[in-house]
Amino acid sequence: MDELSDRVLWRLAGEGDGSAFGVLFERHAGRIYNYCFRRTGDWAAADDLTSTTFLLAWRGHGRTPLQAESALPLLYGIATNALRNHRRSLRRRRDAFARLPLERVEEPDFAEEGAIRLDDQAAMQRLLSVFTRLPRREQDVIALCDWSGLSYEDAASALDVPIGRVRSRLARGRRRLRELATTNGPQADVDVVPLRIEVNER
Amino acid sequence: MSLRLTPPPERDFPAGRLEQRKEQLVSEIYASTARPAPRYPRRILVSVAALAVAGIFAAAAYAGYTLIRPVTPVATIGCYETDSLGGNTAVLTSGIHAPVAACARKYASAFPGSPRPAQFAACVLPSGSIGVFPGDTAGDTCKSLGLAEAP
Repeated sequence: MDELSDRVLWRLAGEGDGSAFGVLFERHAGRIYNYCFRRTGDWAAADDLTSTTFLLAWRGHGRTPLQAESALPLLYGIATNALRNHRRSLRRRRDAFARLPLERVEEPDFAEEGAIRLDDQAAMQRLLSVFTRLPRREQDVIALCDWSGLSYEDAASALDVPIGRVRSRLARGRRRLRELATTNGPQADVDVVPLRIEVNER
Repeated sequence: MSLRLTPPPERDFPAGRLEQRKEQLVSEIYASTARPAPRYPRRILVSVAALAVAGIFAAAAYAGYTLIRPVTPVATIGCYETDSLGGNTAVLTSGIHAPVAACARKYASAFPGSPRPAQFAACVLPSGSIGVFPGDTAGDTCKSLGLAEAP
């Protein structure tokens, strides 16, 4: 079943073949997992959001044929929406916690994970502290095109916007991000590294 | 400290966790496809079945009622030429206390040419009035016509 295309697997899954959807999950979970991590800076949240994305994909689109050859643009689109809802609920939870007279205890999200993942989280959260000052739409296109390696066409499909809008948001977002990093980053200690795509081929 | 605008490199989904999540997802799909069909058609089916059962009961009740219903006091009776509801009928009016005897008396003049039957049966017509039919046994004649026997 591993050699079947996304479109065929999607159809089989729509007919009730859970194992076909399992293959799709194995095939794309890593990409969605890293995308969610890069949007949240939290591996545990990325884990939950990945499952949520696939579950929403099944529930919302499982019985409609896949239009593209790859399921990835659709999954990225669903993940982007799931992230938006996640942020809203996170904000509500944070507000609720702030009202409680409790001492917050930070616990590691993965007991077995090593220092690498903790370093990743710290680095990502530093980057997000600047990145999240961008308008949401610009965050979406940079995260999809620059961080996840999607083509303009796939990003347009994921976000359900015209391709021209992806290009303009991307150009504007990149420029603003550099400005933010220079003007609002740690004074005289900013190392603005040019954006580059880092995608592990799977 | 420096701020890099590139995120950390991609990492693998922890292997055990991936398998666990996959199993959850697949079982959710199997569970959702195994669930019964949407409720809307099922509700319709149940409603239709209930209506059908109600209709059967109503028909049975009506049929039973026609066999036992009481006589409505009316001033007319129908004298039938044959033991059929579609046959020729002579209507006798008012003051009739013995329908069978009254029809027996009037039969020859009402249906000239037809031999007078030896016996008659009085039944309760669907209208509630009495109908008198040629017949040997009142109960059997009325029953064969789907009518109750007149008291």
